[in-house]
Amino acid sequence: MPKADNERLIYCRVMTAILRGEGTLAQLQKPGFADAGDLNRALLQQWCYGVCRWFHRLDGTAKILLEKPLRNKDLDVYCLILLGLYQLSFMQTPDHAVINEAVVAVDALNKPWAKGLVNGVLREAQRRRVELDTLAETDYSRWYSHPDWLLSRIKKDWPSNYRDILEANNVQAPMTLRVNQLRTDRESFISMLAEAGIAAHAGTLADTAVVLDKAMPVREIPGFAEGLASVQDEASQLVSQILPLEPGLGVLDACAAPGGKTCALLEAQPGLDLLAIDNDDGRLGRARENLDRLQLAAKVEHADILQQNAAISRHFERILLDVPCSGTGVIRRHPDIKVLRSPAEVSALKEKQHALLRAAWPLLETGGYLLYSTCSVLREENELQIMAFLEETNEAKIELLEFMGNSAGKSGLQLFPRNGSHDGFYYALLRKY
Amino acid sequence: MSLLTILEYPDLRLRKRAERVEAVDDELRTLIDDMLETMYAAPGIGLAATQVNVQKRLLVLDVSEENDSPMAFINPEIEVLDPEPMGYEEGCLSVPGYFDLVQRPRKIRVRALDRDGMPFELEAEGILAVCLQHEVDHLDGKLFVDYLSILKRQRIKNKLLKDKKQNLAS
Repeated sequence: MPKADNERLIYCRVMTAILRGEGTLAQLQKPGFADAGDLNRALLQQWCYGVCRWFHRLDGTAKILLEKPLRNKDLDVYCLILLGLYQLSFMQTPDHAVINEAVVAVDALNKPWAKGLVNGVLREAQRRRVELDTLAETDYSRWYSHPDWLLSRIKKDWPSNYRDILEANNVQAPMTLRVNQLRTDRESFISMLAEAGIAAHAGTLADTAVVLDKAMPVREIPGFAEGLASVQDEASQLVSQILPLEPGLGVLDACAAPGGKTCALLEAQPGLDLLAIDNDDGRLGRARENLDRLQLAAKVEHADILQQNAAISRHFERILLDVPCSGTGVIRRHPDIKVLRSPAEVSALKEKQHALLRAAWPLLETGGYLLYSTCSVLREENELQIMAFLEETNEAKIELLEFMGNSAGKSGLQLFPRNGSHDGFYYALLRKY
Repeated sequence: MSLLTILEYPDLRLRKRAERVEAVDDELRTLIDDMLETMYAAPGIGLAATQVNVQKRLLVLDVSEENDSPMAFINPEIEVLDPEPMGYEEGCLSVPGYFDLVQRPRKIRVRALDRDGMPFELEAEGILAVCLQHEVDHLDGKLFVDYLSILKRQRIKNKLLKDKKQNLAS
């Protein structure tokens, strides 16, 4: 068999597309890695996620080592340099192999002029490793590998624990399952996993959560295809513990795709009269698949809550408003957020969230509950958003959430990403009077 | 040591079945060294004797990044430990320039003799399992393109034959 080095070319294609803003890692990896086998796919994933996770550290180092920035059309060469730096700092690959492979890959890109450059930069990185590390430590943006604007916002919002948040953002998240409580219970499911040789433990936050010791393809999880469990972070699973549910209640899941929380609600209370809508028809398909697999019943409609629609010309006793957000609570799962997101986008999302709140509120019955949620850790999308809404809406009050023995207070429940456990998340339960 | 010529698909000699090795002697060890040299020069990670037109059940490989772990397998026998298929983008030194996804059992055990004629066995996963199965196929006259659709195989064959003609012409 020939020695294959083409996975570096696949990496270059995906990574340059990300840096050019052509898509997210989640969107690009499926078509991007299609040509690679299982083994290469795991490696490519490690590279792409790793380089995104440490992008601001690696980028800072590369800029110091390059005499002048590379031209725009040589972004692929730059991506190879970033990968080389990532491997030198964060992977066990021996230095000479890293440098060798990078130079071979430059050849494969058909840019022989860059061989000396890549070789030189990586050798210098190897030689000046200690000095470069010390230098990075003096600059938080590089050290914690977050863009300046995001780092200062997190710091401003959470002055006492912002470094914990930044650190947790750089640690890979565990794979967490939600046990389908209609079909099994958590203890039996964990022992079933144990029989299949899969180590797992009960989550500490949500009653239905099982955290796997090691991530694995879903098709290898016993009972997955039969609907015994789904993949979902613990913080998201809390939705069914926070929103008060009773059989027969009319529930609107207003931004439902891909249906994770819809299914969590129905597993907790299958008797709900639930309507799931979303403005993205493609992602709604995944909601339908999930409902089918879990054998749950809900009405699913392609509709935008910001627009008039017959499907929502009625009132609901419960509304779940899981709004689009910056995703700053799930950076550890989607490290490309740090590379792609801009302050302008966050402002636009903030506007959108406010509009969604205003559009959903009139659909809520008096006495009913609206649960607002985001996977963000920024106060402007969370408590500040809710405070502003409460101020302008007389009949709205925030419920005090008693949780894990702690009162979440008048500003809602803000969770921060925790290593080995849940993502960063926000819930505010509002009641209409 | 010397470089050997690697046969290229669709050369029919690649379809011959290799014979068991009866004696592990100096002559065989020279062949092993030549095959390793040929493999590294290609550059490759595995080479079967069939590919250098020797019909003996012998293969060499080195799947390390650093090319510092050469291994020889004489009269290799494969036992499947985990039949769950695993896909890998395979290529072949006898089918230059082509790569395609091939599914093979995930985990195997191989029993063979080493270059001193001593029996050994090892369990293999990942790229080592892929490469071993690929090379043992060669000893049975089988190529990775046999796992592809007839259409793909024909296309590869025609392209390689055309390349060869052009090379001869120039």
